[in-house]
Amino acid sequence: MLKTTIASALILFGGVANAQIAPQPALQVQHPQSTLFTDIVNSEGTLIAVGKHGTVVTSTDGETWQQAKVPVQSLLTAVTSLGSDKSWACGHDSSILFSSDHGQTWQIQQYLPQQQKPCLDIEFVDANTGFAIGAYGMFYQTNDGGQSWKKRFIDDFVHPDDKEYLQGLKEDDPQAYEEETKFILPHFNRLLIHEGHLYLAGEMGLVAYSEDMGKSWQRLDEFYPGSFFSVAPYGNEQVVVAGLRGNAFIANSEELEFSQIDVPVKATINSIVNFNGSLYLLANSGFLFSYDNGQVKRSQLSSGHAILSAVTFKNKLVLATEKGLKIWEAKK
Amino acid sequence: MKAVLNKLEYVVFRHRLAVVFLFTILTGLLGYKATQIQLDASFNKNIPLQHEYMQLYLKHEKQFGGANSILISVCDKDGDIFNPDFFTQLKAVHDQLYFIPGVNRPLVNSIFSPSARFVEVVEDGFAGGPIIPANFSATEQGLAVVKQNIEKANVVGRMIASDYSCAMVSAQLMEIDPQTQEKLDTLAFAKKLESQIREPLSTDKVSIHIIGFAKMAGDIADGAKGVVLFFALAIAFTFVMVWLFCKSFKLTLLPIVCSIIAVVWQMGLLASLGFGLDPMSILVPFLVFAIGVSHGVQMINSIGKKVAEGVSSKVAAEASFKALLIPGGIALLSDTVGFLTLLAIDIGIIRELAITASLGVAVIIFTNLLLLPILASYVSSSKIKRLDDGNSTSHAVFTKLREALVCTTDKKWARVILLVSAVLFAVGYWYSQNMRIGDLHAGAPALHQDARYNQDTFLISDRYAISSDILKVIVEAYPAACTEHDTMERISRFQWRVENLSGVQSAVSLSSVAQAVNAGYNEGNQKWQMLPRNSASLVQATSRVETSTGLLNGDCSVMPIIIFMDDHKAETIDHVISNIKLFATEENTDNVKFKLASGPIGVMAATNESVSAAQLPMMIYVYGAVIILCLLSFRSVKATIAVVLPLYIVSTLAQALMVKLEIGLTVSTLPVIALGVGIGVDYGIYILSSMMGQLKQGIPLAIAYRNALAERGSAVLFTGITLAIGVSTWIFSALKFQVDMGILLTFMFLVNMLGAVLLLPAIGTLLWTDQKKNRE
Repeated sequence: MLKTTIASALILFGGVANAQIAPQPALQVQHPQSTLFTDIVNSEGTLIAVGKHGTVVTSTDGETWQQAKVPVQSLLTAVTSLGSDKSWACGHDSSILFSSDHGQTWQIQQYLPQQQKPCLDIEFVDANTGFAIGAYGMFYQTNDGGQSWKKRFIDDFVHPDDKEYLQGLKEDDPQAYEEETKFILPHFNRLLIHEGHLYLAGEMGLVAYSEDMGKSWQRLDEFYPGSFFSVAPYGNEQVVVAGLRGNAFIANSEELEFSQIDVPVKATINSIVNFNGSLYLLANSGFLFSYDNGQVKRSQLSSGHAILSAVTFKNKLVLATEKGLKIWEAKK
Repeated sequence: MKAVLNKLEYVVFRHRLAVVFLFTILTGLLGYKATQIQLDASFNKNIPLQHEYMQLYLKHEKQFGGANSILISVCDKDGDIFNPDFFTQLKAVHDQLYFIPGVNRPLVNSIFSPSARFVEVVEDGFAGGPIIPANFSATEQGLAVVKQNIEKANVVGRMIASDYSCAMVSAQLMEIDPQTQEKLDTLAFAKKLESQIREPLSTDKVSIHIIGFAKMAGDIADGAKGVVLFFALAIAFTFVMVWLFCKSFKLTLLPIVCSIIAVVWQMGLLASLGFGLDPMSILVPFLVFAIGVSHGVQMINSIGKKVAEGVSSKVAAEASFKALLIPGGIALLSDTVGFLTLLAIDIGIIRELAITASLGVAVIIFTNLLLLPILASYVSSSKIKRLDDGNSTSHAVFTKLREALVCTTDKKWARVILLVSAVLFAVGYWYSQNMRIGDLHAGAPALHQDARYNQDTFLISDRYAISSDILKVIVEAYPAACTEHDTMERISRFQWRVENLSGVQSAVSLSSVAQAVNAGYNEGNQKWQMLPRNSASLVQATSRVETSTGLLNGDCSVMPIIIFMDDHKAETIDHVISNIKLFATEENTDNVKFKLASGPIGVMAATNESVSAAQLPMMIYVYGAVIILCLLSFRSVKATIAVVLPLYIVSTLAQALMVKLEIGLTVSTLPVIALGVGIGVDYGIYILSSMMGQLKQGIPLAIAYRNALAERGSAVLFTGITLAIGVSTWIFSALKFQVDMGILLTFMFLVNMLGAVLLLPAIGTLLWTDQKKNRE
């Protein structure tokens, strides 16, 4: 009798433990388009936006949105698409999701809540090679379209003294190495794949680039101590990074000598998009700063909602904001 | 029975002077008391305190504030608040409100309150401060800083109108003053809102808009005072009509004066018992007057007819007293008992109404069935004789009408009437099934749409993202529950589901605030707007939230979810509440419970549920009382059916009318159905009691009915029409509630009268079929 009680208690607790970790499918709701959206992408005419509560919505007109079937409830933070049959999204609980049907249904490729690290951006070079980056230097790479994701520790960003110590630890005590590397690196906030180069923007002024598809990285000397949340190309020869409190910098992509762009408001910039031949910096408090050959103009959403990302669609911008999706047109 | 009646008659009429003297003394005393009666409104009185929602509400009222809130929106008429004048006025409103007794001071909330702070993320962490800096001066620079702080503090839509045209000062009221232990005088408080805030602080540039229960009650009370005018109008009109009816000034005075004495007694008794008069039940004294007149007219009609037969007024009065005490007494007693059964409904205001109405009706037994004939016995018979002047034209008209009415006992006509009634009943019944519980319109339904209060309500719901239509779901968990991811995730998920319900504008909880704080800790990056899985980070995110936000208690074992709704229409509430019940069962665990409900909408939901639950029992009680008393007095099932059936059909039609007029069933309209029964039962009982004696002797229905009409019919027709016209003047009332009641009561007076003279005899043709045979 006692034995069965203990046994069933064990089963019960085991069940609870599993229930805590097992992913729960996102709730289907009436107004999915009203929540926080963090990223949006145009997949051959179908817009896919991802956000809070594991919400993914799709639209073909930018106005009516359908909620996708998503197997997790985690806050999703990024989405990327290579075309109709290949889209990936990632987010908290180190979750990585894949869709082969314009974002209508999603499958889990990775779900590791016990790591307590969010993925913050996901990008693919081609149908096989992709990267998922995130908090505390989280870096996953796949070479088989996401069938398997391999964790990497980018030791190029570690101080040269620590590098040696870590190398020793990795051979002597793998477990301690694992612990040490868990939170040592800054957050990786945004990855850009452009003209065969990889650019990485992150916490504590981190800007780095890779010329060999991520095998090795060069970190630029710090030119701003705060965090960068976005990196984007401007034309074919320039790169812009932007982040905390309206700090934005532009450089020639050859020299990477960054100089500051004069942004009129101290609002944190979350994303950068090319729109109407200008570069648009999308910021908190609903600010949009257009950059055009050294000229910055500002506009602001009347709602004041933070803009996290945007995508061009039929000569308009579809904005992902903290309170839903919104179509925006530049004033003539 | 007869013996008792004779004895009573003997005692009363042998000591007429003593009785009159006694009534004079009592009227003097109670009249004095009646002058002390006060209009009285209180929030808790409108609440079903035993309802499970309200038990929860009372349990947490101290910690999280009640549902009795006041919102004051201060608006700049040019549409931009950032000017020195506006800030001076806003601060003045905040300070004034703070010092009005009854306000829960720590919960007075505006951008001037110390708890109104902003937080921003800078390179090396957080920076923050009060929205209005300590060194604030209303200069252009100072205002620019405040504007930035307002944006950072994320209060636009709550403390500041979405278009920056207004700013909000809100407060919660305490039912009992903790210092003086005195009950909050809602109406006095409402007056102070006008005299200390709206009047002195409105300027050419700044307008002030006030909403909340106290203000609404105050406005209703002001409007209700207009009822005195309508009361006077009705009395004057009734006087003229009664005079036309009996052509004798003295006789006219009797039913009017006796009915007024009944009202005075009722008010005096109420004041003696320590009750006030609620603005919503202010029409009850009028009803007492109306019912009194109805019985009084029967009495003078009977006396007049007897005098016309040639007896002295004293003999006529004695005979009428004996003849009418039983039917009148039965009618009034069944009203009284019927109203008393309303006590079973556990809502303060309905209980008060039960007492007010039953007291009023009970005293009519004394004033109009006892005092009136005694006073009539002093009127010289020469003054009365004119009453039944057989040659007058009105008499001829009435004779024709009577013969027409007698046709209803004819089989053919009876069938037509029964058929029409059945169809009307079927349609009415079908229609009345659409009766909605609760308020059907936004704002305060008791007031007209263009009333100041409703205009202010619309302005506030227009310009702000929030309204006073707040529902709170209270999460009862265990100490330090906010440090566990699973619990907080449940709250987050629950809130997400609720936010997706139609009728819900937005919601806020400790969980959603903690997520925003967590994003704040991560450099304001919204991609971190989530709940950390480890307790240390979760504690960091929740510990910044103060208990003064009303989102958690000291050890976060109780966490309300505050839900802002579009409006408080019955169907909106129904939809949201029923879904929340479903979500709660899905998210509840052994130690985390999502419980309904607090906030104004929680109160309304509880009230709606109680009203809905009370509807059937109330009907059963009221009809039960009428049926039992009819059975006792007539000792005939047939007679009981003949009285109750028309009554039931009419009250069903009245419910259909309520649906048609878009009047929802609320605490204030629920008793009207019961009152309607009380009004209607008189006619049937008077007619039938006159017929019963004859029917029992086997006299055919048609003849019995003709005699009854000759004896009492004119009085029945007369009272029905007079009272209906008197009440119909309420259509011009300043209160929407009284307009609605005016229409409903007019309908009930008229149609109940028609039911008694048309339907009752027609039903009789089915019940008393074998009269002739017996006679032959």
